[in-house]
Amino acid sequence: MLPYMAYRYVKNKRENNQRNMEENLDSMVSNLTRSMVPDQCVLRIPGVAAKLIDESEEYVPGVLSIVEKSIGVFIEWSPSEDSDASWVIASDDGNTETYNPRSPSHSASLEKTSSEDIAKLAFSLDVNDLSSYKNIEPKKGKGLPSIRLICKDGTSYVPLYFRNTSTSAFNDVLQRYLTLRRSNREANLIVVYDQKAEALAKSVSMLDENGDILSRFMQNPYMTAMTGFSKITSFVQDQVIPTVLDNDAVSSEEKIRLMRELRLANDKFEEQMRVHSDAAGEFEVVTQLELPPRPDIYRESSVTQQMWDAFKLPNGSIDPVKLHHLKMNVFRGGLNAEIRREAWKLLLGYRKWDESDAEFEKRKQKLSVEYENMKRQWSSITDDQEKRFSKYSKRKSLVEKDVARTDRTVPFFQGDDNENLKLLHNVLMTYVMYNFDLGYVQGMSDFASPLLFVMKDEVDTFWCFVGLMNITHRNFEKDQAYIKQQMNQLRDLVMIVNPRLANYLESHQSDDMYFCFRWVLVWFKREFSFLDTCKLWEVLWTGQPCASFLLLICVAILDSQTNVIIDNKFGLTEILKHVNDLSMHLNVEEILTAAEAIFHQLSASQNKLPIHICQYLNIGETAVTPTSPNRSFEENL
Amino acid sequence: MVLLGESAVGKSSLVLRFVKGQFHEYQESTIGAAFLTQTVCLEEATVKFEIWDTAGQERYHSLAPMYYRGSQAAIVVYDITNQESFQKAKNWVKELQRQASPNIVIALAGNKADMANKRVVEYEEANAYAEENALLFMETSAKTSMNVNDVFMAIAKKLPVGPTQGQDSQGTVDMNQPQQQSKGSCCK
Repeated sequence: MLPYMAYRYVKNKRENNQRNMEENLDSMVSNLTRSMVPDQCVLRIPGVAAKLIDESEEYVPGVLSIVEKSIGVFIEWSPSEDSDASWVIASDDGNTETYNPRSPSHSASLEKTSSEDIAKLAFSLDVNDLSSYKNIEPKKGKGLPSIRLICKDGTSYVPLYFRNTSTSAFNDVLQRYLTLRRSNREANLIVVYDQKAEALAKSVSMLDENGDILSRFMQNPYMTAMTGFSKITSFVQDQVIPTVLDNDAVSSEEKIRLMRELRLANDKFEEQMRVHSDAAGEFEVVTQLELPPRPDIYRESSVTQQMWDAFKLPNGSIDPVKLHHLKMNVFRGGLNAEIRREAWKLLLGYRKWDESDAEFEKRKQKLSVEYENMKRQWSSITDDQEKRFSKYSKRKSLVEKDVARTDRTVPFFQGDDNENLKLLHNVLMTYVMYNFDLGYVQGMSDFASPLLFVMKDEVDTFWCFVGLMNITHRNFEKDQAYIKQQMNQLRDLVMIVNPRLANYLESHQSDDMYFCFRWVLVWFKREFSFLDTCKLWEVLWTGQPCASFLLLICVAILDSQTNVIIDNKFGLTEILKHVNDLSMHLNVEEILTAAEAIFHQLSASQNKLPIHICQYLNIGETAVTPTSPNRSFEENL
Repeated sequence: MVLLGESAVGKSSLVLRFVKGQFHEYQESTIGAAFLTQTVCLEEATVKFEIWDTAGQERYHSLAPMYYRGSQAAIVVYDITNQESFQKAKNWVKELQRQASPNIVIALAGNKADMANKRVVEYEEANAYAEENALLFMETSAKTSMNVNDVFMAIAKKLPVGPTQGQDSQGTVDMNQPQQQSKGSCCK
């Protein structure tokens, strides 16, 4: 790649400053070529034969290679000198035949194709002249995989048949230099995406949007690449390399070193870059990360009082040795309604896992006093005082508006003057005093109401709510940055798990994933019945198998809707409407099962996953192990 | 079109009344946004309403431009029993005049007109403000359905007649006259 970059630089420069620069550049190129960079063969596939005539069985064995030279990158094929290159070809009926180009049976045609003619078949094609190629990968036993290169000027090269391997290595290496897409209309046709026109437009607009594109690219190449790989590499080559090279203050060694680094970053990125964006929606990606099939996951029955008690020590605390086992049981089956009141306190951190009954009772007394104090802070504010306390007054009015319309169809909150509404109001108002800066934000009442429903006690509900807000408060922050971050992560995950859907969403202006806003903001509270929400939440509170399991649930639901969305050709608005309308039509057990299966699917291919995906899921090398529940989770499997 | 306005003034209730003819006393708060459609026959054209219903709380204000940017019409809603919500409506109008499409049709709706005994925003005050700013204005009640259809229809009549952009992906009100469709059939 190094010589190629130098070449790109030279070529651009030459076009711009032909007269002045030619000499210098030429010497530079030749210096580079001589001192640093001999031609580098980046791919060599022996056993690739040219087939002279479609109908005939005459194959000329040879070697296909991709070579980086100081003047560009070339696809080369030359006849093999290896006279021993005999061919075993599986015919359509599954039998194999041996072909030897020098064998008497083919002498007739061979006479026509003299060794001179064969030598003439050798070619060297600049990748920039490639327009598309036929790529046929027959099923096993149905013939050999082949490619046929087609040039921009219309030239078709002889078909090349791969004896020992599939064509994927060729495709993969070629993608370092070109953006390739499989035509939707013709499955066997791989088209070189015209980088220049697109790259120009995009580079310019990206420069406008973000002057710091390079650092963004370096930090998160995969994400950046989602907006179009070709544009970035062109950008790096066209904009960055010259800048580096143009700077006189930089020594030539430094230049080379910088170019190397760029190249390394590029390589690393390509390694991660197994999925390509598909802005036009017209082409399928050529290579994708193939995930293993999803494992069958079975959910277990919910944890009963008896099971729960078995995890306890005599003093009432949870046996630390069994803690993980307990969490796994909750993760796999949820809790029986009768045990929720006790268990949620622990899951939400109101009670500590290692706290004995006596210790908790003691601390609870203190927390109860603390609650009453905070409650008095707001309940003692008079109407007159409130007139001069607008920040408080605003928060109060938001709470009142929302309490009145939270879960009013659930019997627990039905009816005028419902006592439970008052408790809900008190809890939320006291939370305003507990965290006045955050205050009350729409969606909080959705989080509080199931807690009250389960706890049936104001103080317990409040402290559980504090625990829950510790996990979710960032959803409510003013800048919405955390929501956006989760949306981006969700998009990345969909891109890996279901690239077809990801591509579709992108081409329908929906890849900001904002149609999942409600799911993420209130943890599916509006999508499931009250009791299903309870189950879903307690599963999520276990933190198993990773903190981002909520996002995997989103992925699982979207994955199940892929065909509906695509086959109906839903646009931005229809997608949002469809997703909103899924509310109360989702099966919580099915979705949890699917989400867990997707986790295992991803986990099984963690070595191939982009780093940031591993980070979201806390798997692979980046996994935080010491306190991570994940490691023991894996051991438990 | 898009509905904007302070939290709990009745945006979702107005849409629900218009689209489904329903009213829920304790309509839950809108999280994110909802999207609803309704097709209505006018004398001269069939109108397809594509309605974005947004979350009212200040905290989610930053999402609103996503919805009003492509809209041809907006209903800015306030609650006649809440002065603050009227002030907020004025802010929305200002924002739309500044940021939205220059040809946007804006209607001001003073909702909860059934609660006249708790009224704090006078009809005259709001009407004067609407006239100053060239807004359509009506007092509405999603509960009794007073003026609900009227406000949507008034907007439809002010929109340019004729086929608009081929794609309706912008969250707008589309006015079109489908040739193959007979006039009577679309009202069902």
